[in-house]
Amino acid sequence: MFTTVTTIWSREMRGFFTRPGGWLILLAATVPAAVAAGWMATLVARGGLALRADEDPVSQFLGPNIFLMGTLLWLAPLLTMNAIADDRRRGTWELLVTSSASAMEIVVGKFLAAWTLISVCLIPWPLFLSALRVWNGKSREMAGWIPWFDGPGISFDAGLFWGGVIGLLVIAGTIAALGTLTSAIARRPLFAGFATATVLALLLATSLLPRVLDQWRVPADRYDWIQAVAVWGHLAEFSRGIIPVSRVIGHLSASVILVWSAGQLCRRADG
Amino acid sequence: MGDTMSLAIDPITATPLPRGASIGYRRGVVRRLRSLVWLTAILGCLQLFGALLPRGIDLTATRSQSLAPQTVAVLRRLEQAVEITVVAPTRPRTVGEQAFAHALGPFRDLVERCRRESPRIVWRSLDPEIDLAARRLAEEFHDLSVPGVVITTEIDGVRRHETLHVRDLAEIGLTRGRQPILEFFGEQSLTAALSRLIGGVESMQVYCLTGHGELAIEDDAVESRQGMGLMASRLRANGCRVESLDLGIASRIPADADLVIVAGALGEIPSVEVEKLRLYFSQGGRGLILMESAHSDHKSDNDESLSGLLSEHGVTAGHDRLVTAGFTGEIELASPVMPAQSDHALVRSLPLTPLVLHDARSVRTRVGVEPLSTESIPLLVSFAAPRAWSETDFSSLEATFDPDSDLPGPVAVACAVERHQGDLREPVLVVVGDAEFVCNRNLTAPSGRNGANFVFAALHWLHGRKQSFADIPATRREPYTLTGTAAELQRSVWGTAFFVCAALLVGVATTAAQRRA
Repeated sequence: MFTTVTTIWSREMRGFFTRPGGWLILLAATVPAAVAAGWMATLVARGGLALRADEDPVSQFLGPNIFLMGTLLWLAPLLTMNAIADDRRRGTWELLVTSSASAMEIVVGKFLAAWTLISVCLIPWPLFLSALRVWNGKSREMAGWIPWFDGPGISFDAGLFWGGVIGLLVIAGTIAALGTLTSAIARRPLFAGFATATVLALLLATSLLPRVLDQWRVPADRYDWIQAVAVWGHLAEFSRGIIPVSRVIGHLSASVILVWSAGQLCRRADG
Repeated sequence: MGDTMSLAIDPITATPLPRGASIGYRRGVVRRLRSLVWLTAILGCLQLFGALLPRGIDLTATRSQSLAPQTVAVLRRLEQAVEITVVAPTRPRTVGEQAFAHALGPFRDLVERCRRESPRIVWRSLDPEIDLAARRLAEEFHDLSVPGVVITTEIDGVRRHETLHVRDLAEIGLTRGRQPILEFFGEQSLTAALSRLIGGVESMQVYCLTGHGELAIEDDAVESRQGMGLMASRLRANGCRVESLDLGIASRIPADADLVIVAGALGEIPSVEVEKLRLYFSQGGRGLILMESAHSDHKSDNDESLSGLLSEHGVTAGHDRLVTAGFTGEIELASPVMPAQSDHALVRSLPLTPLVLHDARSVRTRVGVEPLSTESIPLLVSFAAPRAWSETDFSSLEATFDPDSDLPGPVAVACAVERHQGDLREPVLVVVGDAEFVCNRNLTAPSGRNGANFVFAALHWLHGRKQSFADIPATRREPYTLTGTAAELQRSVWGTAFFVCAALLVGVATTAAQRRA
């Protein structure tokens, strides 16, 4: 099973990195990360006091900020819509399912590839944060003539960095599983992409709902259940520098169920 | 019958399989079953794995996202729902409201962490300007001043509460570089409050001294200046048993006394009675002494009797009166006083709203050569000179500051006295240079709540109900320390972006060339 899954994963990865489009997607995913990092640098330099953990600019950078959410809203559908639906459109799906690989193995391989690709596209985010930590933007001359980094920039708690990175990985997994499922349901990639974007937008709205209810002074215990599906709220928890184990288990369970459902759908649809 | 027995049943849909169902179909069913078993096994393993791990793994260096073990222990003892209600305006206007809004941020984070640990914690936020429930709370709990936090629970049908104010939660200051800094110690206060709530409220036995012209607890008349019946009612509503005590009759202070209040003794307290008070305090008793003003009309007969007792505890009550110059220059005997600058637990728990004292006398730390086992801490101080001073000339209403005899402001008008026994500090006395602020007439005035709040804070401290979990470390929030300017940091970002984008463009070009080839 693992060999088949690895083969499918390698095929998907090769397909992405051997196309100029794949690199362009990476490039497009880098730009908002750079803009957001610039915005964060300005906020930090302003020197305001973050009263709540969510108000910390570093937490916000790897948390639910508009640039990151916006990136994932277009990136995830784009990377997952082709997972199964495109194979069906091109007629290569039949070739895959008639091979020795089972539908579930194929789906797992494609899900893992989608998860990896989304994660790869998110690498610029921690990369820029690391750059700000190790380099303050000034340069000095080493050995009298070699320009070198002057010194560290923002001395933030490394826990915020690692929490944010783990959170991004976990949530990327759920989003990849969701995209794989919609790609398994849809017959056309465009429809799959649209469906994934719609579900992500709904999740975004659900994540904003607790804040709205808080503004309306609704007691927090009445909307605790919304928090369970508020994906972006979960990312905020991670970016504070904590790994909420129940959230990780919840996301992994949701990913397993979504991928299993996608496998069952493929098996049923393709006999 | 035999046909029915031979029919196979689809284990998933529970319907009979068609006669002569193919082997492939049966295999499909087995495969689906195996898949379901796999799914269940994986989910089960995940849940088991999650159950073995702690609720959250804090990656921060200072463990700022974790609750202290003391807090976790208290939260695990919760059996009833505990409602934490913040009563504060949505848009802070005054300095006090602004300070509270600053402290509220980390407090909200703290409560969220508590809620993750214990689902019995309920968070509510009320705006006194728009929510009727906020006004009801303020009416129900006399020690709640806005903005503040009230923590309520119901145990055995009895509603209990604790209140926290900005001084219980955080302090905001400035670093050497004039950067704002917030020291948050709300976890200590919240844990202590929860501990007190679930630990049961001990009923406090309060005796109010009588027989020397003190404010009478039996006098409930709203306009009365000689009665403090309304204060007594509020104390009773907050779990105190309040009784009068005539030391002329009683052989000694009753053994069940948690606190003795001496509220404005006009006449002389005989030395025999003072001796009984001295014995009580020396044996660990606690007292709230509200001095009558040193006005010439009253002759200040109680001066000599009480002054010796206070002097033994390092406190001197001045034979003077606090005066404050108004904005237009006229002299007022009603002087606003505010909490002193101190880290003392009682000072921190005092609301920041000014308390208005009438004709108050100064209460200062006595300066002497002999060592004392007690220490006095200023609680309330007046405005600084030249706006306020303590006037020693009672002959005329036209007060003018005389640097030779008068004490320039800020004048201390209330002190807390603590006894030191090694590292242990225990409360002994709270002395205030005015008693009128607790009389019925002033208590029913619009600013009367501040006087009641002061008394409650003093009582809580004296009774040890405001003990804090001081071993829970305070957390500090301050802006990031930067070695570069905003422009230099931008250079760091865009320099990195340049290299990343260049590498990606190389990837685009290479793959495009390969495709073309």
